[in-house]
Amino acid sequence: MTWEPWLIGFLEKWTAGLAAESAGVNRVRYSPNIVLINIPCPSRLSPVHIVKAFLAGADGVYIGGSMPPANCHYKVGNYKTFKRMYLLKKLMAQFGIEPERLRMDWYVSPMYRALAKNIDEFVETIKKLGPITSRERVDGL
Amino acid sequence: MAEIDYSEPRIGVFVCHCGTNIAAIVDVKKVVEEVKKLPGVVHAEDYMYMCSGIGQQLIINAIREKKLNGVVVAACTPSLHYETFARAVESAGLDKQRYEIVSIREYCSWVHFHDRRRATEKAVRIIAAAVARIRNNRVYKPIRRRIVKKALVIGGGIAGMTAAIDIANAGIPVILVEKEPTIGGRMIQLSVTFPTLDCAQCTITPKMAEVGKHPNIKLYTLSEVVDVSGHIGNFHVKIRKKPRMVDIEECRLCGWCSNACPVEVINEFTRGLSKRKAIYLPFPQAVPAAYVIDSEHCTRCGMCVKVCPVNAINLDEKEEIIEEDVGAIVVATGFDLYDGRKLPEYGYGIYKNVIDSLQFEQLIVPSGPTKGRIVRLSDGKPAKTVVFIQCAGQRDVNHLPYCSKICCMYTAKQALMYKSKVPDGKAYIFYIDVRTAGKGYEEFYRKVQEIPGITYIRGRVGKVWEDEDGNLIVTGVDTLSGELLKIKADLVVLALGMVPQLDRELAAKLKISVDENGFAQEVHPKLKPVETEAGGVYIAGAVQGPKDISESVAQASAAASKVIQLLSKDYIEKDPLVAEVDESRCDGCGLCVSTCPYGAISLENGVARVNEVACEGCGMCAAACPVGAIDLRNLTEKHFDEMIKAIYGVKSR
Ligand SMILES: Cc1cc2nc3c(=O)[nH]c(=O)nc-3n(C[C@H](O)[C@H](O)[C@H](O)COP(=O)(O)OP(=O)(O)OC[C@H]3O[C@@H](n4cnc5c(N)ncnc54)[C@H](O)[C@@H]3O)c2cc1C
Repeated sequence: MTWEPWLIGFLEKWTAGLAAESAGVNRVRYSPNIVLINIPCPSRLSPVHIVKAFLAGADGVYIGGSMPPANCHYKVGNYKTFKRMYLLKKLMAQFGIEPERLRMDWYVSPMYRALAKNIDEFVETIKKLGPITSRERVDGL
Repeated sequence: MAEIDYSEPRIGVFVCHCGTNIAAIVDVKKVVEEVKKLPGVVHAEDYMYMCSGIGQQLIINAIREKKLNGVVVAACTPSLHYETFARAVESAGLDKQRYEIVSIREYCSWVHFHDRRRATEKAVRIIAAAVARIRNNRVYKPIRRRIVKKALVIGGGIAGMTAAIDIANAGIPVILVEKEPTIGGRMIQLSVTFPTLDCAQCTITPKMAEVGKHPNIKLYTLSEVVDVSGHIGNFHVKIRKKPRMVDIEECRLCGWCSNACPVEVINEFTRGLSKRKAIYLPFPQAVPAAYVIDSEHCTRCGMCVKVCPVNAINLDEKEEIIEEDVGAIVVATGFDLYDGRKLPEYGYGIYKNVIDSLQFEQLIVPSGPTKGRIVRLSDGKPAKTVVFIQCAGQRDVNHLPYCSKICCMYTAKQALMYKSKVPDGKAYIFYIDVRTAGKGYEEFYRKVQEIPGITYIRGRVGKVWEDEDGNLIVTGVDTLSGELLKIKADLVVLALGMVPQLDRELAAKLKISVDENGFAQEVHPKLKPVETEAGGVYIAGAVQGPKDISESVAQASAAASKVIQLLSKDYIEKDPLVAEVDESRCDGCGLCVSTCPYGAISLENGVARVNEVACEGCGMCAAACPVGAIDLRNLTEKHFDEMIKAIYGVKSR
């Protein structure tokens, strides 16, 4: 069978998570090749989680956080997440994973169309990049 | 009931068809077959409607018979049915921390209806992650918090007043915050109200008076909520109170101050149809019944201070920040009219005689700026022809995409009132559809439609302009006859749509979300219409969506009853999913202390300590800890590892 990507997405449940719910209610279709997990706040994620996801088989990791400045449920979680992931993206190239495989977008709950569009775009990007060639290099980190 | 043994995972998975909502897309039989292979799963079944009584019983029976110690329900969204299944599993003796509901409807079948194979595979992956999570969940003792038996209502329109009175009558103290100098909201600006045509002021002023003198209601006018912290059952709010500069207790309403005041400004109460002074009484029945100084326009000349016979005026009064603790909040900030200036084709804001629907209400009110005479605003001549434009800026993707629902009714009312005041006048009503659903509403509209001199025209107005004699010319098409129309009018009234009065900043502080059009978002349009995503915060009235008075009142009483239910308890159980420190690993670096946005972590004897009541469970600290000594309960490192592994352990075919 031909390769197809499976992505993992972490959504802030108060904003992006609700947007995903509204996408459903409004029947806005998007690519199924991503499993979305709701978490209270993406600031719970450390770079290690992302690396582990790539190691376990993720072809791309998506983070849907809350739109700055005022929508974070936990005051500053979105800024924290952005800073951490920004640094991680800088590092990713060094161990052979294209930084484009990690994507972050920021939401307020009515942005369900944007969510669907962003996911489709991201899945397309990953399809173009193809599978991750060597996961061992990541392991050696 | 037998104690549940949590040592080895024994998980049951329950897959819902949701009629055909899920099953038509996702191959549920296949899903069941696949999830049976997942580690820890000892039972899996599917059913047509898991949320029904029979469906819930299936879960309860399986917990008992199969000795399940974990349950995953794959169905609709947790916001709809988390509680339903939580109650079911708890009735079988299983702690709800070992239960999870994952959406394979909103998150899968409803968005992947184009791809059955992948939707099915994705459903399996979603469930696999949930199973991995539940397998690792531990059962923690709930954290109990005291409930503050006091409520905050924001907005003193008919909705906010009704909610405040209901709550106060249940013996619970209420703080009512209104940004204007008086309560009353939009309703106090109306003339009469459909469908009964009783005078708006006569219906609302007794309510206002009741609020004003209710022993359980504390009213803050000229006030806004500037900060909200805390959580359901225990909020801390900061209220900014602008200076009124007139002592409410002392003011005798003699009005000498206003007579002496040299500053004249536009009166917002009449929507600019009259002037008022910088020290003024918004309207005779205002509550609180006291004059107020408009600090923006007051020149501090001191004339009013000199004439006030009771020394009630203090020009040095300063803004105040008031802090209050409350257990629940009702948001009832109402609506505004869409800005008519965005519709230049109708000439609003350009021609004096093009007015909005609220201004027309003010022309009808007997005590209004024209003493109830319906006249051209340009020259005061009687208005013999009035054109009403319904759906102005509504049901239009370039303006408001939605229908404000009340305009058909109030336009019919306004046309009727017009005819009763100007019997020889002509009223033309341009409409797209007439929507008059509601008890007694259609009958009301029929009655108006039959009045000679009132003409309903189906069609849109193209343009409104003024000729040399100061008459308005309205051109449009009658889409039923195809005829081009040109009407010479004295007044044009725009039925502008309702827009929510809820700024994003306040919504964000309250942690409530808004919909695409800016209205406050309820948790569920049918089953939880007054609840918001933020526990303990409820919504009522036009801030949630376009509504007439009866609906606003009904919703306000519903919100009040939710508040009363919540505040009748002494304690609330808080989710125990907070941060936890492994003291043997913690080296006391303090990084978590500075990371925590709630100040919930402190260093004690060289190790971090979490204040469970203050912790909100975001997990920011866990991601920051360099030695992995602090973790979030039931969303630990191990949870992430296993969830990710589970998702990628599912074989594609
Ligand atoms: C032209 C017109 C005619 C109408 N005629 C009828 C009729 O005949 N019959 C009928 O049933 N309905 C009628 N309605 C509808 C009716 O006005 C509304 O249903 C009703 O006013 C909604 O009440 P509310 O309390 O939700 O909002 P509002 O009346 O808007 O009250 C909201 C209150 O909250 C205050 N507020 C706003 N923001 C804040 C803040 N941040 N902090 C503190 N306070 C704040 C406002 O100052 C206001 O006092 C009419 C509406 C219009 C426009």
